[in-house]
Amino acid sequence: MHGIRLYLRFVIIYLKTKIEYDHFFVFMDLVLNSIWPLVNLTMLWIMLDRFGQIDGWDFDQLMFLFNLSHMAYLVCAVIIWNPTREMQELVRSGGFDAYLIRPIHPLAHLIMRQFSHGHFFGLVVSVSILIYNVNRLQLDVTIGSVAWFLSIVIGGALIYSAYMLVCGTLSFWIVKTESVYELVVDNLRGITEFPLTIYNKTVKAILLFVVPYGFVNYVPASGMFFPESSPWPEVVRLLATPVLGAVLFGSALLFFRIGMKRYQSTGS
Amino acid sequence: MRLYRAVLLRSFQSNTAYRAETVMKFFFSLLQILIQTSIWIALYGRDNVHSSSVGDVSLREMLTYTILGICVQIVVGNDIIWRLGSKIQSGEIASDLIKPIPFARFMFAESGGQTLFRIVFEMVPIVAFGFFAYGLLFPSAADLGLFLLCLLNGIALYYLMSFIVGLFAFWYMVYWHSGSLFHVVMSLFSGSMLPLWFFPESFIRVAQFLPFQLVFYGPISVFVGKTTFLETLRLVGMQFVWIAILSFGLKWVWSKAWRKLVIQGG
Repeated sequence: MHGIRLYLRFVIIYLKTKIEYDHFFVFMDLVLNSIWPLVNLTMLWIMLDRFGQIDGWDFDQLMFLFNLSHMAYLVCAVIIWNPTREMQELVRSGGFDAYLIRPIHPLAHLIMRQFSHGHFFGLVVSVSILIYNVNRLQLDVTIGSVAWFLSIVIGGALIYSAYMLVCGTLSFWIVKTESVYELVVDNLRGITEFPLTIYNKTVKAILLFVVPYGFVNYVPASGMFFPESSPWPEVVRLLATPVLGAVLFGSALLFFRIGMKRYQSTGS
Repeated sequence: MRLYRAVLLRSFQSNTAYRAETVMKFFFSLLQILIQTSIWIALYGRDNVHSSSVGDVSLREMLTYTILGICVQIVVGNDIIWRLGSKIQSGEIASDLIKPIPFARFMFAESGGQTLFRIVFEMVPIVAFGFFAYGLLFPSAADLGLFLLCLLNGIALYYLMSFIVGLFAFWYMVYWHSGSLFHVVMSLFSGSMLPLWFFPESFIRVAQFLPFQLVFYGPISVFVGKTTFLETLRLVGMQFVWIAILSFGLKWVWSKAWRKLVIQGG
């Protein structure tokens, strides 16, 4: 409770500093952070307008699949994208020192002192897409289905956060982590914008068992649209995402703690 | 000329310092090929050809288009907007301006060295991979020659466009904004993600008058053999017209821009 109140304080101060800037800059931040998914969806629409379906999935179903992974990503990006991206620079320059001497956990402080307003606006767009999508697909909105959907989004956000944190933490060992970060966080996630069945076995195995982004959107969504052909038992489809998210995020935190022990300041 | 060659070679050499980065980039491109080809194979499903606005397109032609698109990206791509932007933001541009060499040409030679490096270490392996893994189609010698001509013009066009966008940093400092906006427009209208064949008619009518499709869609269509000789001539003509317009535009923006230049301290 105390943590949440503190976080809100931090967020309000952060937003105040942003409003100091020219409003047009802030406006463009919001637009550009949410435009890419819309561009990608437009491309998808053009493709599907010509071809009708991909591997049995029609446009609305693909949009749901796309939006599910995107929403989970945005939830986690609002909170943890900036801190993990910054880690490389903080460790290299020795700026991480400042976080070690505060009366809260360094990671908590890193998270609290920023708020990715661009990603947050993206989240608003993503929720609008979801509402449109639910109407088009005529999905049942009940307490049960909403709770299930939220558990998938939160579980997915935890899975993404775990990998962001691991990639950021690598900075304690390697000087440059940018490319690894981009590969794991952005490029591999890009693969799951389409149903995993269209890829070859190696790619599928990587995205289910090594970097399990498949569990963020593909496993739940394919279970929902094609329950008869899904190879996963129902209990996996319902619970795997949140459980996996909790386990992976817990391990990532442990990894961060090990990394922090290795931290040697620059000594200046 | 000797001067530019020296700049180009030096930039090529400085790229060899980032070996891990090169391996990573090659890996990105492979991943991109894997994703895009999988999507097209799944879209085609059991059919081998699909109708479009330029007649039937076979799966093999489509795969060639995709892999070639990634190669063209390597050849024409540059990071001018980001480099120019940070130079303008930090004021470093002042030290470039006092060099006895025209600035735009200097930057062109420098990014040429980078491109040459990427061609040797990224594009050649990719073409080899594409050839063995997917059986790329190769055009006749005449078409290949025309393709290379179009590609050279495409490099010039893309460079001019990105330089102009980069110069906007004189007025609007947040250069990543203008950069991303340029990329959005580019991916929608250039045919780099999706050939214009599959776009709705009305969209094609707009896109064909813009310079963006002359960089990706135009040259690649020539390579895949989807244009008649007359259409190819028209394409090359349009490229020259746009190069003229954009060079003129660049001169104009530059003349306005350097009067805006403010350098803090020193």
